[in-house]
Amino acid sequence: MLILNNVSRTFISKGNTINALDKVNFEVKDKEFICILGPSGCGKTTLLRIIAGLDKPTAGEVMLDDIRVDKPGQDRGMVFQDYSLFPWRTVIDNIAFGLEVLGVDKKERYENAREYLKLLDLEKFENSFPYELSGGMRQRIAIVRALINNPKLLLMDEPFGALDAQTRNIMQAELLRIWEKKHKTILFVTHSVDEAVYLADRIVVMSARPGTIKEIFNIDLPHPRIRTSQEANIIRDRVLKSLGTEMEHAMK
Amino acid sequence: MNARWTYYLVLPSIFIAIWYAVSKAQLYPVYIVPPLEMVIKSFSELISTGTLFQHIYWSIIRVIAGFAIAAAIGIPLGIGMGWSNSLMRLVEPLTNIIRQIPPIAWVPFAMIWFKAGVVESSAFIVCIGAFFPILLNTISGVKGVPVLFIESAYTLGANSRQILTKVVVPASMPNILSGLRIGLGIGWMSLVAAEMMGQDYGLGSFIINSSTVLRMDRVVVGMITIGLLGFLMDRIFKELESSLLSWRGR
Repeated sequence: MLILNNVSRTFISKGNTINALDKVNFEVKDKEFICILGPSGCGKTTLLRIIAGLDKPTAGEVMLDDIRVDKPGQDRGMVFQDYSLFPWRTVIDNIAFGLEVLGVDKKERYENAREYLKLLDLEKFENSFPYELSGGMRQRIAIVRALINNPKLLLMDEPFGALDAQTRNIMQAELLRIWEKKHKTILFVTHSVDEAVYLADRIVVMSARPGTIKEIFNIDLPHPRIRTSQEANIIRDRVLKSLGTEMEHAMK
Repeated sequence: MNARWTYYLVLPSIFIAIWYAVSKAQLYPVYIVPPLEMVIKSFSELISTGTLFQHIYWSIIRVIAGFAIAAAIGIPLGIGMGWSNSLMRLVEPLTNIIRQIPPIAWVPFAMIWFKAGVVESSAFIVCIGAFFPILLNTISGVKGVPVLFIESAYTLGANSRQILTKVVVPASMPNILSGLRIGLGIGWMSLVAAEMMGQDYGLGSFIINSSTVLRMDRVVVGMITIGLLGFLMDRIFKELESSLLSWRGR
């Protein structure tokens, strides 16, 4: 279980203090799929980076299974918005990176990586370099690269933000398929209400700066969800209203 | 012969034609513009006696030695300086001053320190010329490694040493290789300075020794040989670069 305990983060820039996050309290159960929505600059990414251990809270703490998070670790995988595959490594060497740094021998880590390639149905790209792949393929590989260490938590920072709408829909379905197979806890930051309603067990709406949790929506609809169903529309409407007032705050 | 090659040959052909016309017209004494035929004649003489190859041999040995030392120091130092701000602050002021001094200014000391040895003194001058482009390009490569790659590696469990060897070094390889290529070029250009210390062999000493007896045709032979060999080395390096960096795509 992931527990955020009064997590606050202030930045100091040109003498001004900016409250990016203010006393965020939140619990995530194992195997839960959480989407975090909020206006630009509400600290969604900062929150994710703190959980990943790439940033430190000014106050408060993050606990993962009773262990305090203070640096990056293999128990938390991260997928970034920008293409983060190492361009000088082939697909299989990218996926196997996490095992390589652990000192797993080549044969074993390749076997492992091939299993994930099979899961993605991308076996024939094993020896390709990232520049030879489409944006959607790169992000799918980035996802399994983060999964190969078998993390408890998968942190995703607008991973499909750079993709076109059609590819994005396909990727969402693909992510759910992987999630159901590997059953990880996922924290997914997005700008898209539609994406959040399609994916999440719970949607966390954050307020404009200083970022804090404004409202949490439970979504009990079974997967696969129909994007245009009555229930989905109702939830979307409620989330949009909650988000809408925050957007107005953010603009002021 | 395809169209691209004909394109490449246009300007060199015009240059040779003008040179030929000027030497035919005998507008200038031979020591000001050595006639084309005279240069060709010296060229073929030097090739058939094998003398030219001896000069080339020694020059290449000296350049490779100087270049290898420059790379062996410049790459690790550049990686260290790009990675660690304190090392950068410590070393940068000194290197920024030393790199303003042209390699030829080191000749007096090269002669004293290395006793105008066959290879060492010249390699030292070449090394001075090759070192700074290698160092500076390596630093900018390391500084330019996207934070995204470093953070990805950290979240995948890499430690600092692994970040350096598995992320920073390969990610800055394009800059390191172009530093090496520029360094090799500048090291080669320092040849004349490196071989002005009374050596018998070497393209640089050949140019200097020929000029003292006013054999300007031979000076031209030396210049052309340096130019052609430099061009050839650069091409070979370019090929090596693009095959090592095939991951960048086209």
